[in-house]
Amino acid sequence: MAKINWYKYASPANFYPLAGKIIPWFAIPAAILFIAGLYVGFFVAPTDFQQGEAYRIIFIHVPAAWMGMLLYVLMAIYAAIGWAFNARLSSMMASSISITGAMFTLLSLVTGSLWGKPTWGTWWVWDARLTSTLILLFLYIGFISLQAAIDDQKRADKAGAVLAIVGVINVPIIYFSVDWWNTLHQGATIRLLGKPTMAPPMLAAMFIMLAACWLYAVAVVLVRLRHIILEREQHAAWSAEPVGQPSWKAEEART
Amino acid sequence: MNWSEFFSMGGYAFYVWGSYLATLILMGGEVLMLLRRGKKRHQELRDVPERQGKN
Repeated sequence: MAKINWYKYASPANFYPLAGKIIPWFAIPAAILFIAGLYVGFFVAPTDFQQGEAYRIIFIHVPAAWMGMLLYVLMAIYAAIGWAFNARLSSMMASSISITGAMFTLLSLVTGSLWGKPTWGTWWVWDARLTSTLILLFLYIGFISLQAAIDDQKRADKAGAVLAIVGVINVPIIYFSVDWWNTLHQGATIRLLGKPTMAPPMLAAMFIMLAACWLYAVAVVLVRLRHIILEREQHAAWSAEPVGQPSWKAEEART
Repeated sequence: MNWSEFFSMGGYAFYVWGSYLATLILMGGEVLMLLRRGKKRHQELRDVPERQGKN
């Protein structure tokens, strides 16, 4: 087996072409799984005996909510690594993740609202789960605007990292909110321990959609990361001169 | 199951299809923004004089 020097890819110059090569391997399976998940969700999964057809919102609502939370933790980890080790690529990754994480959090709030109206009779209620998820969205927005507001990139990354790390405390609060407080929001659909309470096709559709969302997230985060690399490193030597490896320049010329 | 029954979603059409429309708008919007960002970058690279005529 060929030995791979992983440190090599911590450099934006080396990571750029690598990221370009692996994006299709995430984007294409994501599209296939979205179609498969929706097929199972709408044509295989049975009607819910309590909620009728309205429950079918779950196939996007739950994956979006999970993505919003998990991407936040991932963003905080990358921001922390970037800050602690002065790793540029890591900070860029955190910036790239923040947009997709915010998108998924917003999506979970919008779909939740569309689900709340027919089942609870209201678009919004200030219960613990909904409120803490709204705070998650504000944390993302805070991170994004903080980075945009500070001109000095290093300081922007540092400030963002502090905000991201402090905000991590909100993620377990969201997760356990349905147990800790009396909420209108229903309890966890899937628990790490114990049997799921859903019919197998419903569960399958949800997990296929979750996998699709993950693949989608990796693809868009990498595409954005490439944009960020070029924008931030455009004055660095490697981006001005052709480098030995298949460089971004050769790639740009081909397209 | 016929199609009109399918699209009516047992009376929840607005909520169910609204959710998936929101998904399409948000995810599609994200992809579109990234594509536009890429296009802009191409243009900027072309417009930088020092990079012209090289490579």
